[in-house]
Parts: sequence; C-alpha cells; structure tokens
Amino acid sequence: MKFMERPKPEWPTVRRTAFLLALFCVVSCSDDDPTSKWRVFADERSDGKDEAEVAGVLRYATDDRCFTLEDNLGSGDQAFAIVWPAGTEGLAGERAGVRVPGVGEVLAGEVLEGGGGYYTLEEGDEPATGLSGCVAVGEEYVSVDTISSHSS
Amino acid sequence: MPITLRLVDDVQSSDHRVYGGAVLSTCTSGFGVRRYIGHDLVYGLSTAGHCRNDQDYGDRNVLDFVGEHQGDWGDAQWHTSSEQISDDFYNSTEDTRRDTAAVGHAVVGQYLCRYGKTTGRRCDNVYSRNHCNNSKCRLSIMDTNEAQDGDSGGPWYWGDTAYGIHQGELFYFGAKDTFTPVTHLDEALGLEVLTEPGPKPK
Repeated sequence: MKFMERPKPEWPTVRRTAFLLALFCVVSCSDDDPTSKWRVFADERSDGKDEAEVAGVLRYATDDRCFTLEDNLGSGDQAFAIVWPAGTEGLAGERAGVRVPGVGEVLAGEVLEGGGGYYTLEEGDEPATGLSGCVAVGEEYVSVDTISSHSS
Repeated sequence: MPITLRLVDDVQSSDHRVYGGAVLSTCTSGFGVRRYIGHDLVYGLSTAGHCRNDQDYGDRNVLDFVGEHQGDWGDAQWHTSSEQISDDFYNSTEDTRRDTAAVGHAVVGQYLCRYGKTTGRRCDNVYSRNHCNNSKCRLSIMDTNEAQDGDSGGPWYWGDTAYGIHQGELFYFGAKDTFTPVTHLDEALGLEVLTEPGPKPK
C-alpha cells in the first residue's frame, strides 16, 4: 500500500548543499578516468551519526566499479551502494577493498556489521554526491558510520 | 459424515498487533501513529527516517513503507501494517508494555527513558533542544550517549507520555543521544501519535 506523501519542508539551501558536498569521492571516481579501479565514497561529516543497524556482505562489481552492501537484515535481501566513514580510502593493488580509519582493511566478500543510516538519492543530488552510476535516483544507499566487526 | 483434515504451513493469528519499542530489521519501532490521507484516517507505526525503508516487524513481514522525513523537522518514517496498530510500546526487556496516554514536549533537565532493541531501557536528562545532527534538525539531545546501533527509532518516554523517537548520537561537548520530538511528527509527516489503538484490519 503506497500513498502520496505530502510535500516535504524545504531544506535551507546552504545546509543541504553543505551536507551533499560532504559526501564526495575520495579516490578518483569519475567515469572519465579509466585508470581508477574502484569508486569509494566517504562522508567527511564528523559531528554525529545515525544508529540504524547495518550488516551484510561487501560486494564489488567490476562493470561499474561500485561497492555494495548485500544486506542480510530481515526478509528482503537488497544491495545498497555504500558511503564509507570519513577518511576511508580504496586499497592500492589488485584486491578490491577499502581501508577504514580505526578498522583496517575491509575486503570484498567479507561480512560487515556496524551502524549508520539509509538515504534515498533524490533528483539533483547526484552531481554533489558523485553517487550516480552506483545508485539510481529514488533508490536507497547506506551511509556507514561505524564498523563493529568484519570477517570473511 | 466424513471429515477432511488439511495441513497448513503457518497459522496467522487474527490477534496480532504491532507495537512501539519492538524489533525491526535494522531499527526499533517508535509509537503508533496516524494521519489523514484524503478522507481516510490511516494508521501506522513510526521509526527513524534513516532506517531502511523495507522493515520486518520481528520475523513478520507485515509493514509497508509510506514515507519518511530527514530534514528540518527531524528524522522519522512510518509504515502501515496488515496487523492492528497498538498505542502501546515496549519499555523493558521483560516484554512489559506501556499504554501511550499523552504526548509531551520535553524541556531541558527533564528526565526521560528510552527503549531500544540493542541496549534495552536507559534513562537520562534532556541536555538541550533544537540541534542538527548533519541534515536532521530540531532534535533534542541528552546528557550522555548510551544508545547503540539498532536503537534508532525507539521510544523516548516518561510514564505513559510519549516524548520522542531515538535518532542517533551527536558530538556536542561529548557524545550525546539525540531524538526527534514527537510533537514535530506533524510538521515532518503529518502524523499524530496514537493514544488509542487503531482499528482491527478487515
């Protein structure tokens, strides 16, 4: 059952812009750059965090160079593009994975557990976030704030 | 007279209800809510807006996402259910529930309790009001941070009065729990908190 939602209050432009600009590619993530191996997005905001549970298997797709979290919470298996904690960088070399400050290397195929929040990519958000190509407008992505465990 | 017996895989109880303070897939439910959509009064269950849109209630797939708000009026979303929406919420790990009788606006220094699926029942004083946690604003913050991942969306209450739904953690002179005041649910999503249970599904 779906309903039309009443119009949302407008966000002040300055705060919304700052929020979106805080989500950016750490590693070269332009589709124009054929040399970049994987696209890694990190949230450089550091004043707070969301406390939804986040868990699943880290996957990497070679065609679009995006990491996704194959969510295993609840009955509906879904895959979400990932925005990583501040300071996260893609690994050099051939292994698909990232290095998360305070956590270490997290590799594709590992099971992640932690916390964060789920957001829907809205029309007009893509240029600021750079997420286009990894998540479509209207789809959810997950912003991981903390990783409590990861294992293969 | 011959009697035919038929085996079924599952028995659905018509007495099932959904409550606040319950285990969702990625979060904790908040309070029963309702709003008018057209001429229809629609009942649902609230949680935090940053929780995944697709949620199970415990192990039951009975919730349908309706809408969310993550912005000027806090951090909230709601779901309708194929089961009856209760105005009660869980407030302890012993499966005890409270009846929501009123809605309050918390003031600085007020002592409130929270229930979440990860940390259970914790209580603290309101430190300050009207804060932003990244893009989510008009949040109230508590003296300390005791909640953990999975507690988002859970009820903040005192006695039988609803005050907020848990949001997250803000670093403001130390780590502090944050919540969306339930009095903002109207501006955020047009919702009011239930103080009577919703109707039984037909």
